Amino acid sequence: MHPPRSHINLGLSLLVGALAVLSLTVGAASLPLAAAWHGLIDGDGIAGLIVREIRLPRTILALLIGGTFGLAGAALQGLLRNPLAEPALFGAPQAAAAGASLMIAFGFAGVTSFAVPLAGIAGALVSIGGLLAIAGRRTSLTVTLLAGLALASFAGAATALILNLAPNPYIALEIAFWLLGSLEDRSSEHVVLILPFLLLSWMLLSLCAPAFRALTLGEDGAASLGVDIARTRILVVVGVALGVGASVAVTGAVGFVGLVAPHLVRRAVGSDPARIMLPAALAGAALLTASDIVVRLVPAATEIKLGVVTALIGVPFFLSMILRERKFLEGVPA
Amino acid sequence: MSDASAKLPVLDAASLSVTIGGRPIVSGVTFALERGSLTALVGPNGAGKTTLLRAIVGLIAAQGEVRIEGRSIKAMSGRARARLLAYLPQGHAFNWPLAAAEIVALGRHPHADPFSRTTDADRQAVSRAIATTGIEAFAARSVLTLSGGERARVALARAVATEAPILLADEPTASLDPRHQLMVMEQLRETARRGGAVLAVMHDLALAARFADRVLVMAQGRLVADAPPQEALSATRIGDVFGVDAIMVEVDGAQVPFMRAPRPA
Repeated sequence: MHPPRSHINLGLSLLVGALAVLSLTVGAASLPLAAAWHGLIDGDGIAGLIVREIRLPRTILALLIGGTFGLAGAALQGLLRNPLAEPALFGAPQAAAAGASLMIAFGFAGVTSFAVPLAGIAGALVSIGGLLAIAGRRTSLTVTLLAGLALASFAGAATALILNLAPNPYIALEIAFWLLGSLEDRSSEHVVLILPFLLLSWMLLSLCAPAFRALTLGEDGAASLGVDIARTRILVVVGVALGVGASVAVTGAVGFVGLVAPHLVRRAVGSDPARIMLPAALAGAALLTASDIVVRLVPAATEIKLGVVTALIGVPFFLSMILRERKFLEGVPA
Repeated sequence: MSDASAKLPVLDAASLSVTIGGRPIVSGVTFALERGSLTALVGPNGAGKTTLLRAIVGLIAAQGEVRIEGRSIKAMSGRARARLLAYLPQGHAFNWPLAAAEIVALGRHPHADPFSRTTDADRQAVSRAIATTGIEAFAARSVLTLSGGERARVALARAVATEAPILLADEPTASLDPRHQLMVMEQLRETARRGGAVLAVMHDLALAARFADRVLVMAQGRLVADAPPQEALSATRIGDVFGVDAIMVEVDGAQVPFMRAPRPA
């Protein structure tokens, strides 16, 4: 039916590796591949400085965060049994951005302090936890999406209020740009800052894989097979909040990777919500790294923001998925 | 198995009650499933049959006690309970377009190790379940491309694949054509004869009368009969409980009710 999963994962890993190498060679200063390679290995001279200090952290962050978004999207889709689930539709990045900007705007913490990802995680926790609490056990798609819309709007309003009340207009402007989502000028400090949270997030979400597969039979069917539904929901809420919250604290709002990545690999690996998790994470890493390369290649006076690119790709993609699933969404049995 | 456990009922429920939103749905239901028996649970719509099944499986909070071979179900982990008690819910909805064989393999979830590797025992149980339910022909197809009847049989195969001694099935013959209704009933009886017990919610009283060893009749949350079919499904009781005039027809030596007309309300 489908090619072996190991082939797909190998293929995706090679793609991710190629994009990572490409990402190290792309930037304002044009460095040939060989020069970039020497810069990476021995760290000598300008090339070493550019590759090691600027492009390497940026590439690592794109891989880690893209992978996290892909995994978080696959996990939410598995829990809610719906291919249209995505953290950004539930207000998670928006709420994480609100939490993080509160910290920065009022000077509670420096941009590389642990308080920023923690505030981001808290924001994402409130939005995803709130969403699942409102949607309840019988997760109707309409209720879930409407609750997500309300939460995302509220998080947007909260961020606007923070910008509005920010004591320093320059900081407000800086946050407004940061909110657009970017990996520009991030350092290895950022990698160290969020890596523990991301690792924990991956671990929690991976633990849920067998439960996602059993949920194919619905909540009653899965529970009758011994799946602890309440525990699974908590693991997903905490796992997604840790991953998305920490990521957004570094990148600003970057959305829709969690929707697009699982969908792209579903055709190749099938719909099994457990088997799709690793390929979705790899596809997410590839997508975000590729988007971050595109951002640097587009000739513009000001760099186009990464979050703008993912939204420009993601939203039309989302619309096309809605069109394709329209019958299902209207409640007509397929 | 020891002599003591052979004498115990495979499953018994004592004073089981469920209240939802202040309304009693199941009230003080007590019954036992004997080893090797197929029991039918019948009753009009809203009698509390599905709620009773869900309470036994532990999907909703209930007062009272459910025991498997004398051991309280509350003391078991979810997976330990699932290895002893398979549940086939109503409706057979599948949320992802997996292949039928992959759906059947979900029945092995309670047996999985922490790394959820598929063992030889799992593969054999899945093949047996596919063979006994006769779904080989479409085992490789996506469940979303199957007809309602085919899906119902895939769902049954999934429950059978767990190889739990007890099977609780909610309307296992709904949406099946006559031939497959008979095949599923035979399948359920065989499953029970293997040494476990099967409890099936049924709306077709004729099928219940022909295949069940015992019939539980529910009305308004209470058990109003717990007896062999000819006694539990007499024309008088069908009239009282279902509000239908029935005549009894003999089929293969069994007294089988045939529904003639609804009684005036």
